[in-house]
Parts: sequence; C-alpha cells; structure tokens
Amino acid sequence: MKTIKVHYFALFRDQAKCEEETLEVNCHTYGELYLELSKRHGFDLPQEMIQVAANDEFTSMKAAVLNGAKIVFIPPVAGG
Amino acid sequence: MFSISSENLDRDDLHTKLSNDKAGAIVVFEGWVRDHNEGKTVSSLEYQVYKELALKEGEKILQEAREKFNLHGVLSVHREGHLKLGEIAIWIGATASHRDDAFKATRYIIDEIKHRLPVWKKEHYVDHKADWVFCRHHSHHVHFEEADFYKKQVKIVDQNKLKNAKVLVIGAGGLGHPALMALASAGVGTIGIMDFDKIDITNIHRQPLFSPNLVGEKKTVIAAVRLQELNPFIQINTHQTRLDAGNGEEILRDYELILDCTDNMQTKFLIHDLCFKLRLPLISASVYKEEGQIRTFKSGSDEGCLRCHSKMTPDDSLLGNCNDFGVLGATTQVLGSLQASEAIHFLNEGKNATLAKTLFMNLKTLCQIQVKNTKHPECSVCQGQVEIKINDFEVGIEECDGSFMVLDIRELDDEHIHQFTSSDKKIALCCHRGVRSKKLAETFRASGHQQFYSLKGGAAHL
Repeated sequence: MKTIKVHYFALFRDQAKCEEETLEVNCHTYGELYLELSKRHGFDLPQEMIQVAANDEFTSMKAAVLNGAKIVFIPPVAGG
Repeated sequence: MFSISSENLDRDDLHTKLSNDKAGAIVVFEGWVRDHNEGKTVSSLEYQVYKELALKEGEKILQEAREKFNLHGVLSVHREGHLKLGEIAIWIGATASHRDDAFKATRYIIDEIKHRLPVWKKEHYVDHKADWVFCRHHSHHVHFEEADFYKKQVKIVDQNKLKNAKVLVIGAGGLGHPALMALASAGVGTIGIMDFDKIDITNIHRQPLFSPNLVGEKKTVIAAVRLQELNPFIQINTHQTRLDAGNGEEILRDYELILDCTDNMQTKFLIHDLCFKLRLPLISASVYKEEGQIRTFKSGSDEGCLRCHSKMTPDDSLLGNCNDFGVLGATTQVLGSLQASEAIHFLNEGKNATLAKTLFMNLKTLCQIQVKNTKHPECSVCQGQVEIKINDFEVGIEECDGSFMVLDIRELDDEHIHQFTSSDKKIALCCHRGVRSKKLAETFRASGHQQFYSLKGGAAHL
C-alpha cells in the first residue's frame, strides 16, 4: 500500500468535487492510478490527453507511483 | 465634403466642383501609388477602410480646416480597394481667398487624415509577399521623444532588444488582448496579430481593445489600429486568416517568438508542433473557468515539450472552450499579461520562469502550483522531428464554390448523412464547431468517399 495525495484542477476538480484527497492505493503506475480514479470520480478524458506530475515534476503515465507522492493529473485546457 | 471611393478618381471633375469666384487660390494635394517602399518594389496597393468611422472623422477634419484657415471650399476623396501604380490614392483640394491659407489647410488635412483615419494599406510587392503596413509616419505627429516613452522601464529591460524583436500573437481574444497591449506598450518593435475572426458582441467583456460599435469588424484590423494608437513607434502586421498546416510555416517563420493565445486544442497543438519544427520559442496559455496555466517551450532546451511524456492528441469535442464553460475577463487578462511579461523577460534574457516550470493558478482561490518541466531523452518532437500533416479536406466557407454542396448536419444523424455517399458533388459538412464534421469526413474518406469535406470551425464561424 502506498499513501499518496492527489490534487485536482479544472475539469477534474469539477468531476471529483474536491481540490485534493489523500488515498491509499495498490496500483503500480500513474496510468493505472488514473484509471482507478476515473472509475471513482467519472473522469471521461482518455489517458492519452492527460499529463501527470509527481512531486511537482512532469512525469510519464508509465512511471511507478512513488509512496508519499503529491500527484497532479493535468487535463488539457483550451480556453482563451 | 469627404468621401470614400472604390472607383478611379477623376481629378478634373473634383477640381471643377471647387470652382468659386470668391477664391483667390486653390491648393490640391494628390497622394499616388508609388513603386517602392522601404527597399521593396511595390506592384500594387490595397486599401481597407472602416467606412462608418472614416467618413465621420474625415468630415470632422475638413470642418476643422474650414474653420482654422477661412476656406471657401474644401473637398477630399480617399480610395478604397485595389489600386494600381500611379493611381490617385487620395485627393484633397482647398480654396481660400489667399494662397497661404490654402497651402496650410491642405497640409493640415493630409496630416490629420494620415493620423486619424481608420484606413489600412496592404502593399503587394514584386519579390515579397504582400503585407499590411502601418505608416510609421504617423509618429511624426507625436511630439514626444521615443526614448521618453520607455523611460520607466529601461532600468529593467534592454529597450534595444525589445525594439529589434519580432513577436507573433496568435489569437486576438481574451488572452491576446492583454498580451498585445503589454507588448505594444513595452515597445516590442514588430508585432504580428493573427486571427481569422470578426468581432462579436460576446467578445467585448474580455477583449478591451474592442467596443460594441465595432461588432462585425475584422479583429486583427481593429486590434492593429488600437495598438498603433497606444504606441506609434512600432510596426504591426496583421494576418487575418485561420492558422492551418498549410499556411503556418510561412507566417511563423517571420517571427522570433510566438505567443499562443488561442482557445482550441487543435490549434494549440498545431502551434506547438510548428514551433518545434521551426525551432521557435513559444509561450502558451490557456484558461478554464477561473483557472489558468502558462508554459514556455523552447526547442533544443532541456525543458521538454507536450509530447515528451504522452501521446497527447487534441480532441476539442471532449473539452470545453470559453463558449461552453464561461470565463471572466479578469482571468484572461491576468494570464495574457503574464504571457507578455514572460515574453519580455524571454526577449531580454533568452529565458524566463515558465520555461523551467509550468504555472497553474486559480484566480478565485489564489492557489497556484508550479510543475517542473522535464524532457524525455528520446523525444523526437523536442529534436525538431515533427511532421505537420496537411489535411486538405477541411475547407473554409470561402473555398466552397459552385462545385460544393454545404450540408448542415447539426440536426442530422450519421445515417442520414450516409445517404450522401452516392452524391457526385463535393459535400462540405457543417456542424456546430467543426469537430463532428471533421470526424465524419475522415470516416467517409477512409471508406473511399472522397467527396466529403468538413467546414472549418463549423456554423460558429459562419
């Protein structure tokens, strides 16, 4: 089990109805974590469109989830 | 009387209209289309006039001259449209009892017209592509020293670096306005404005260069005029066109820094890819409700690109834009100003803060996070290996000639549209925003029906 803190922005914040949450997870990669959270919160953006940052650095969806990490899934935004 | 004419001017006719037995002198000024400008050979000219305002302002100028110089008669005509070499671009005639007043009045009128009239000139050159030019001569009217203009900022930036810089702002919307205003005021020497759109009443709450009386006018043209008023010492180019894979390289390569102020994913990715291909730095911002993000990209740097960690593919149908989710002018103005601020620091020092980190900020909670930009060592996009796909099945309404049938599919389901696979005519599908029509055209074409096209931007841009 890893303990992580996930922060939400933009669309994700609207769908998760919270700004951040602390979770205990079993998944290996950030991609898996995203799928889990998608089920939980109803995120409907495909994984290919999301960027992920761990401990304030951009990383890959295939990278291993770090215990204690601060994780941000970043949806693309297009307004202007 | 002041008027605008799209026909060749008849100087004898104009002259006769001013006949007056009280007058002891007439002074006539004619502006002609000459064959050169700033080292380039000019082949023809095009004048675009914002008529409603030009007529009012022109009449005002003539009235001022009439009162100032005791004129008996005064007449001026400005041309619009396409002009050949040698044609009269403007004709001014003033009659007075004495020659001195007539001379002074004519001089006054031409100077004021050059300075105040919303008239834009596009020069067509022999060896260069045509461009809109904004007379730097306007600055003769500003009785200020250019150096004084920047007195309060030269302790922070090297003004020469800004003056020599060429920056293109793509998107003259909520982000574009504050970015353009700050860049122009700071004295960025050459600023390009690119937008295909016309002013809509729903733009104005977040686009401070526009006002309600200008609805329907071309965005780039009005923005250029306003910016030139803000700073007469800079050069402004307008590109009133939609950026696409076909025209992108040609337009972008004339600039050294690009600001992405657009509002849709497809264009954002195109700009991103073009900038990496052309090795141009890019400052990109987006807004979602009261949140915004900003990041700088620089090809060849260690800070990566959007495609380093994911095969991100734009799909606007999954996301909203300002039309869908709502936006405050105050929010876009913060982000657009930040883009300009980052641009100025980048021009000054070759780097800025958002090159290293992407900034996400919430203007409601005032929370912000900064995420370190990282690079994938094998990313080919970062190395400039980018393929810009030209899709020629997306067409603008202006390209739809008689060989096209425009099919409004907003109320039609896919099955109905399928009936048109037997059509001999080219079919331009038109949906709300050009997303569904693009997908459908792609699908039909993949199954051999090459007559399907998609109307760029959909009904929203008609």
